[in-house]
Amino acid sequence: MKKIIFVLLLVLFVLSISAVVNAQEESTDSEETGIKEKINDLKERLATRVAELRAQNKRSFYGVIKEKSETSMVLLYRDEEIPVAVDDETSYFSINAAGKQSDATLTSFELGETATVFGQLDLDNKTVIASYLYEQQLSLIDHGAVTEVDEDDGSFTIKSSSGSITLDYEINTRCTVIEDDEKTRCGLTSITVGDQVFLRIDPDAKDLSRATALRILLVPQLEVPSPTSSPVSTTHPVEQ
Amino acid sequence: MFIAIFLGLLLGGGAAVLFAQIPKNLLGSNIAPTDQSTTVPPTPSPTPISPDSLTLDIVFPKQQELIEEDEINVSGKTKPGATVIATSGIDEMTAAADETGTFSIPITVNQGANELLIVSLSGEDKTERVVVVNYITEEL
Repeated sequence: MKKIIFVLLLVLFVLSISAVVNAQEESTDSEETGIKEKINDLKERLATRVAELRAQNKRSFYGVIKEKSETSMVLLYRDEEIPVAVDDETSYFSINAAGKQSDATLTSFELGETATVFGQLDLDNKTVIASYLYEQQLSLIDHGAVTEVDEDDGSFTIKSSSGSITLDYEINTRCTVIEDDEKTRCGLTSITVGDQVFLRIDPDAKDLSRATALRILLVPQLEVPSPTSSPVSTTHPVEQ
Repeated sequence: MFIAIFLGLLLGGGAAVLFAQIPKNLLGSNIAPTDQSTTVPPTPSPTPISPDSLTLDIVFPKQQELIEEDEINVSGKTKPGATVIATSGIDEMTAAADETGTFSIPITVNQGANELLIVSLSGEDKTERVVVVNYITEEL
């Protein structure tokens, strides 16, 4: 009898042990699955956050090259300076006045020239780690009222805030008039004294009072103020 | 007993409130100076504007804005009815500001940097802004 009780107890003990082991194995499997799911979830969230940060940290800046070394550059636009870091992954391009892009190297970027950087903001929240660097010289902006048109010389003169400047109208000069949201081409003969012109120009390096007109937006003078008109009546709208 | 505890709490609380109200500069040099920039909001410098001046606020694009499309809408606010001109290195367009002074002008830009000239014209008044936008086709 004692033997039977002992055997029964032994069997019960073995069964309970195996049940505990099975339960532990099952719980270990479910824990592993849970951990894997958590890891995958974390990976996805991390990837999403990295993508968000990359999108938030995208930066671009155009300015004059103030300083330059083999690994860095400082760009200046008006009173804002941006440090730029360059590395082996930076791509360099040059854009000419016509907007055509060609390959360039870091050595072709010279002090005093203008460049545009595209990249990611560094941890200091100021330095741009350059992915792309463009070397480009933008045309100058000017605008003013036409004071003289010389068709024989192929030029016209304007009075702008920077003074009087004579502009050569060349074959490639593009003149546009906009009326009722419709753009039409124009020429030198369309320009008359008193018109307002908004220009992109290529200045003459030797003669500061002369430049080539690259693009002209012509706003014809529709209303000539009479000498008797009140000088303070400046609020009437100009019909374009 | 309870009255004593109540009075103690009342006096202690009152002392704490009084201490908090004392200006920091009266507390002596043993108090660490606080960073004023984190507690005091920056005071914007007033820009004197005459009532008759022609204002021009550009809402979009911001200075040195990174853009990934070659056509953008320059938007902002100026005098109602004013003519607004926008030019890039490869495009020009004009629009009239609506009755609230709001305007939106579609304009095409070039690869790389673009200096946009935005001018508001109203009668003989003229106000201008130059805004740089940088356009890239490659994925950053």
